[in-house]
Amino acid sequence: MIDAYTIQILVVFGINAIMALGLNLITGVTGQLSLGHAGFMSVGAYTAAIMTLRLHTPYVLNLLAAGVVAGLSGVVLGFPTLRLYGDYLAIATLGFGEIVRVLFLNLEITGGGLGLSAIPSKTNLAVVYACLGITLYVMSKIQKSRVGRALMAIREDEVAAIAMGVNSTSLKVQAFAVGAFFAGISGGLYAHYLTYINPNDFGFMKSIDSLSMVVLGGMGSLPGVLLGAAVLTYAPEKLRFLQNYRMICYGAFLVFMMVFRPNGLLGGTDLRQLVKASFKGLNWGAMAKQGARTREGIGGSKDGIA
Amino acid sequence: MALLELKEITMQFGGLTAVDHLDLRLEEGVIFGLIGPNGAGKTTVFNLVTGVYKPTSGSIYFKGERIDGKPPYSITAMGISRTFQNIRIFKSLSALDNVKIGRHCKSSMNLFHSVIPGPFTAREERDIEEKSMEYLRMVGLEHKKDILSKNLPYGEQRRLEIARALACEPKILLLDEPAAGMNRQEKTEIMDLVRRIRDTLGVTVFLVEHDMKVVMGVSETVAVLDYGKKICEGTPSQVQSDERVIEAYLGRRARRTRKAV
Amino acid sequence: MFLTQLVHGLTLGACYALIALGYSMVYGIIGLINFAHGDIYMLGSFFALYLTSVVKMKIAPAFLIAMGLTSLVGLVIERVAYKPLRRSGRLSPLISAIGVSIFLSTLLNMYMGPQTRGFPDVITELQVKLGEIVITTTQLYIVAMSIALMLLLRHIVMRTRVGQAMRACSWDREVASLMGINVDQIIALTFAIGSALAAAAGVMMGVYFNAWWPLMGFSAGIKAFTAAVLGGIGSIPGAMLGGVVLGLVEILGSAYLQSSYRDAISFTILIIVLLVRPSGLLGRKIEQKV
Repeated sequence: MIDAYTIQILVVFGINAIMALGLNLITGVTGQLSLGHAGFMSVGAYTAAIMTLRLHTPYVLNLLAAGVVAGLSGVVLGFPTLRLYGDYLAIATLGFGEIVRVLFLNLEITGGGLGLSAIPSKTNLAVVYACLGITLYVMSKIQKSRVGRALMAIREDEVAAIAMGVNSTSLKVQAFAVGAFFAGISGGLYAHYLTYINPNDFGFMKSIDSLSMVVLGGMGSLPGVLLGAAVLTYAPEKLRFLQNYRMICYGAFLVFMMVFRPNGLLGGTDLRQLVKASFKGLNWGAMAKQGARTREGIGGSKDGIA
Repeated sequence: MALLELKEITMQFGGLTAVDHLDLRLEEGVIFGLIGPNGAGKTTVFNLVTGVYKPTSGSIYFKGERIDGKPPYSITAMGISRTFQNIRIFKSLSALDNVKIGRHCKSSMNLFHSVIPGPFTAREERDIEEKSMEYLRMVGLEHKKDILSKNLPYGEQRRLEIARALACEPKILLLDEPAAGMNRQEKTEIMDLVRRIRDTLGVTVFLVEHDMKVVMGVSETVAVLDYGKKICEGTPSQVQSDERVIEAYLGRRARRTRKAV
Repeated sequence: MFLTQLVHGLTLGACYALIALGYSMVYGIIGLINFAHGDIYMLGSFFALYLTSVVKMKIAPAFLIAMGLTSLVGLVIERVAYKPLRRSGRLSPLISAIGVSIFLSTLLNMYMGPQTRGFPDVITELQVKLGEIVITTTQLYIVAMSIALMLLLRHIVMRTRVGQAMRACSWDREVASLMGINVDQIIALTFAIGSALAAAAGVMMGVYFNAWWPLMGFSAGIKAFTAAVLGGIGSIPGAMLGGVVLGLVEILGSAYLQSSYRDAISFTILIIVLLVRPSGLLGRKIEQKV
């Protein structure tokens, strides 16, 4: 039997992982830095909460609506801002996250600063892992497909990608929509798990949390993101004494990773490779080396803009 | 009807006129070379044709359809593809994946297709794979398909870029200094490849090149650009003996040498 | 009343402009949005707070020492977190900068606690009345000091050899290095100058509002960044103009809007500018190099 505490950690890990996988599509695969991912999670959480509290809709519908509304907000944010090159986008997404937070703190329907409480507790281990499974399936399929390759091309060199016929704006919006959809799902799960939400749960730091998970495991690598989510969910729980230092560590850690292992712990490996390798008696060392060899890091060429 | 036609094209950046009332006609099936001293505006012409820049004035026709002002990705989809002066391959992707991305506009799977499996998607993915291998074979890189493209040597990266551009099945291929930085052996190989592309695939080749030997050796028609203006056009031998070309190219250098002395 | 508010807005704007200059200079030279710049500003303010309240120093030397210390920190950050990434893609340095930002603000948060702290009385506050307008000496000091610093910066950039090298680097780093300019040194210097200016703004804002808190860099950073973008990122006069405009807009805006929306004002302006005129008011158009 697993005790309640372990279950709690497993659930939180699942929710974090779904969110990070969504971000991974945007940042890791497409190379667009999003600093407002918690904003999408927030939209999802509030959608689910408001639906259940006001309309008494069923749980599954709430989750779906959470994803869809968050996805739509991704499109709304994406259309105007994704024309922006690189760094400006990061700032715009940061702004989006903050605007959502300020809005929810001030609107009546979201309960303002008090947040929303008494959300029915529906999320359990099985639901979370079903959702995580679906997320993993969708993400691995996308990455292996024509669309996924085009997204990676955008990450590597947007000018060249466009020259190959890739409509980069449209595809970036799609990536944003899918990433935001899963952040919304994760928000819905979160709302129905904690039964209480507050706009400040989804601040800038939450976005950084997710980003750290993606960066730790390896941008664009699904097992990497899972590993990142696992470590960054579990470590602060177990190392309670570290909790106060947690954000300091995140800061130092982001710098450290960028300088020494920009592709993350498992960068450059994919799910199938990992499964195959684990059956064959895993050669972790070689895999790690492969990650390290790609020192040039993510984000592709620098000479896109004058 | 010419395959590609530039009419009275002018491109200004601020006060600088990079291309000045340029007229060019490329008939289908030719190998057309565009040469000129540094800063003559050759790459700008490519950027205009591929839609990276919108001309300040003038118009560009491809297969009789006006294309200036269209977004670059749709120009590519119409059948114009290119390589870059400073190689722009997708560095952390394998050689095969690079070419597969070249198949982008020849395939149609969207986001939903990629998630929901079906016979159509499987067939299309197989087609992408096979065709991509064909183009890799054409440039002699089939045995390197799984190597990350940034780990390929320079000459192979150039050829990979050409394979990627061919994978769109273009009507016309724009090669921006394909022989830059290559040794004599590699240059001969590139010239062979250019001829093969035209002869076996029937692709029209539009070539910007610095290296005279390459341009003169492979092109059937050569146009010379100086300060954004076309100063001469004709067969390689006509161009080579043209006064204005010698003036623009060699003359200036000769004059400079004289000054230095 | 309105005019008094205007003076208030102008004072704020002058400080935003000083911070914005740092963003703009760094962006101009290495194309990086230095996310940690707001926290540099916070750190500058902190040094002055420490020097005046613990060491009991007078404000003038504290001001100078804070600028000096902060530019040192700026140098260290550049060396540790950005320089190794000079050759990698554009995403890595950006993430690294976010890391630095979080590190600095949470470090100070741990060390000093999250609460707001006041400065000791460092300036004898007098009020000058010009008809309707009330101006305090602090406001006069701040505006005068900001103008002096901006003129100094302008002199350095336009009239000295180092400034010439900086301009060369911002046009084309590679060509600059071929011309014998030590690009690494120039970049380091840019960080040092930008940090010193941010520190100056930090000290002045700290004294003006009589408040320091570890997370003050976040919103100030965003506002200054907005100012830099508004004026045209990479352009020095643009940063000054953007700062002043933003300061005024913010003060006037918060007079008419619910105060809780105040923080969203600069974000909204930012997003509008990015959409309508990403090159800013005075910036040169961003051209793609192919």
